[in-house]
Amino acid sequence: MKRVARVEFLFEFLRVILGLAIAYLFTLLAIVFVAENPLEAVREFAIGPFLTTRRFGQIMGKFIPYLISGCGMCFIYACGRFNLIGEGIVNFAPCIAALALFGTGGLMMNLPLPLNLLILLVICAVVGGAVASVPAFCRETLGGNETVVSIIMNYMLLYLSMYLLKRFLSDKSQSFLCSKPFPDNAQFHSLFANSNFHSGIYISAICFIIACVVFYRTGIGQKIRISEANVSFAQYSGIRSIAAMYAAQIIGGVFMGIAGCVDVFGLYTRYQYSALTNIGMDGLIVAVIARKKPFFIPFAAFVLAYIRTSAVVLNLATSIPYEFVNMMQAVLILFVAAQGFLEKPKNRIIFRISREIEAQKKEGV
Amino acid sequence: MLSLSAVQWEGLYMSKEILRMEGITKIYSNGFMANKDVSFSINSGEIHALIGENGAGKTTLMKILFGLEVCQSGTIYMNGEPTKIMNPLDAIAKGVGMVHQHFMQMPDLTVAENIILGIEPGRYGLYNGKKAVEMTLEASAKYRLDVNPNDLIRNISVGQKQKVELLKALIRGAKILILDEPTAVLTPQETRKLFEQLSFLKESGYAVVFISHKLEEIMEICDRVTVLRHGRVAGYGEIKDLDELKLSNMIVGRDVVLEIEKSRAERGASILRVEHLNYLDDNGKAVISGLSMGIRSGEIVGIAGVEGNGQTELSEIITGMRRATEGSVSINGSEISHRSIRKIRDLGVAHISEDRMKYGCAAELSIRDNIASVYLDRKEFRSGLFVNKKKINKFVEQCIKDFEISCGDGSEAIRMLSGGNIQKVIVAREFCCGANLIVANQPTRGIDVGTSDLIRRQIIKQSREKGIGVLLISSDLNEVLEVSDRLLIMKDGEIVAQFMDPKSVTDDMLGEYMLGIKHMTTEEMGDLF
Repeated sequence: MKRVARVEFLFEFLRVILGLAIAYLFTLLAIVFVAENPLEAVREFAIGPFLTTRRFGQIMGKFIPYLISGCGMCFIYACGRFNLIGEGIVNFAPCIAALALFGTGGLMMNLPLPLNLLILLVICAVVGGAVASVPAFCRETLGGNETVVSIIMNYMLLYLSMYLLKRFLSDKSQSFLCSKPFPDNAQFHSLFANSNFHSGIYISAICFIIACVVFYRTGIGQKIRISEANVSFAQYSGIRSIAAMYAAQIIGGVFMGIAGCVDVFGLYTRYQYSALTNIGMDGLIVAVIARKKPFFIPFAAFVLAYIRTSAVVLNLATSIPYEFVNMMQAVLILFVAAQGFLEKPKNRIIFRISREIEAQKKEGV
Repeated sequence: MLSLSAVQWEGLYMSKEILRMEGITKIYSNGFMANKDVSFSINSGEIHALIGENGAGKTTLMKILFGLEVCQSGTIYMNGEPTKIMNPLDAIAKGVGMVHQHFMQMPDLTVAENIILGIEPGRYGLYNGKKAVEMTLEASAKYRLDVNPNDLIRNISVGQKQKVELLKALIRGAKILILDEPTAVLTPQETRKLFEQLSFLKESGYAVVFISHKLEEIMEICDRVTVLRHGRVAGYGEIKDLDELKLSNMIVGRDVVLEIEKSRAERGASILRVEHLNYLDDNGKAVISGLSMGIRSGEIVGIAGVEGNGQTELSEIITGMRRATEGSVSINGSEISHRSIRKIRDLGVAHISEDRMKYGCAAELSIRDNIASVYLDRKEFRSGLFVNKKKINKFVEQCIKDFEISCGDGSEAIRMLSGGNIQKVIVAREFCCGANLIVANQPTRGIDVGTSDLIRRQIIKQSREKGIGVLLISSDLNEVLEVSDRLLIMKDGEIVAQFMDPKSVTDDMLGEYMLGIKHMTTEEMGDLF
């Protein structure tokens, strides 16, 4: 059976790598067909994001929240729940943090940067966890559908955030809806050349390490993984699987809150979200590409950040629209998520091995 | 596609081979070979039993026939013509109908609506409810399956629901009916009625594949039998040439069970005490009725009985997986009726479930994770919030060594192991957790002889060396007779006999109590605690 395990691992790996290669080739071909100057377009798409510091900064600016939201979605998705509340949390949690920042009578204005950032992160994490527990409660205790509840809640949280922004935070001197500028001691500062690559990367790295440790090394991580793998077995083993499901969704919400915090206080100088950001959904895409394993999240987050930045670069350098490159993302997910991809050759090899084992057994008898 | 008219069927039915499956081999995508070169045939006007232990491959074979699974090699012949069954719709079109153990019905629709679902009468896309009722009444009269077309499914009895399932298949033109454990959910009266209906169908030329664990039912209703063991055909023949003993020999391969030597049990303090236990299932049927028994430390109490007489429910109530309707269960002096599974395990209970893939393990997780699952909250395996991986690894290594589990370092997914090795992992986990009561439900079912022997020896070792009390539930009669110190027999949710010296019990004696022919009085049974 070890041979079967090896074949399965090999094909699992091949599925991601081949999926990526096929999606990439497919996109390059499509660009060649639609671009006025195919060579230039392919060059811009393939290596454009790495050609200037600013563009690389854009990749990293996207990579930072993707890494955190991907880790969060890993927990939610790994326990078999499609709680999409992350989308609303990314809008709502930093809004509450901004309220605290501006509403504490200048208290936070004078605190040192690390302490201020820590407070903002904690507020966002707590709000994220609390908000995520609502769809979890609807599912685990009331037996509702967490996907429907979370999608509805995302819009409620968006409009609630906009109300709070208009009512308590808005800067009337600006021509668009935004808060007053964040003070210097409440921002993740750019790491080089004023690019989008900001110090939130340290938070991402810490979040990634925490996610891996919680997922693989703690009792609750083990319980979440067991509950996802077989809930009847979890209950038989004495694991309170409902508690594990709650924990997974709340932990996911905490990560989402942190992702929102790092994005708002890293990329912007004011709170100015007036639409859903898609960071929550992107987190789900990252988790799908990483096959629910936090260990692969940095790779998956970087791939997605690269695709998104390439799309922007291509759009600016040629006449090809941004949405066009999203096809690559769709093709990639199709191949990675499709269980049937490479299933036939894999089964052929496994069937052959099984027959050989059976023949050996017969000979042994 | 092969579809025959009613007239053609009429001409064909009289004891003619209607279906033949030849050389069927089915390998699942995890490499598990469920059917190995299996051949099976059925005649029209015949009830053919398909029997074997759980995991023997009967359901897989029938799924292939009903188009739910695809086999890697082998041919299906219908009326002598080779045919391919692509999916269930194709199977139905070719005259194969299946009645699943768990009914496929819409509870909020009427009987008639359920029966005609997918073949709704009407014109121009409009549904003709009146016609649906007429069709149902017509079929009901034709096949002598009495149902009320206007009743809602959720309001009718299990027996009625089964009639609806039969009508669903028959109205679609099925001539071969596959019944998967049809009597498992029925009361004796309903079972009797079902047998009358099946006999009528048989006389009308229908072929019925009857899957069951209940040997007495097979002897009563079936004409021929095919026995599967470990995915292969272990035997077949005419029922009139067989008896229950021969059938059970074919199912479990009795001749290979080894004699086990064991020292005399030293009964100590009471560990388990079950008093006046009652359990009603979801359909309100009494599965356990006023059952009382107990186990003392150092003894192995075996429970024998035909499957489906409340043994599983009893083991699940003791381990906290079900709640009793009435009565009390105490473990080491503590009442467990309101305790969680975790708390009951903490009282000192270990459990080997009969369904090892559903409850016994998580197939996709590693051997290590599967062993660690019950130890995650133990202080010795924790360092604060963290699981002490070093200690867990060491423990898993020891388990692998002690229980001779054939695997690598324990990091591979458990589904990669053979059934016997999966069971060894489960047994290792449960036997090493420091429990003083082990509930072992079918611990050796469907696994190889060597592993079965190892597990039986371990059960005896645990009871003799550590003074652990063991409740052993098994359909393998040799096993309960060989391993148990005290033997109880369950029939219809009650203890009907107790033997203090199981080795002296003959198969005939066992059979009489298991089939309900005899029932010991309370005095004859003696002290059950």
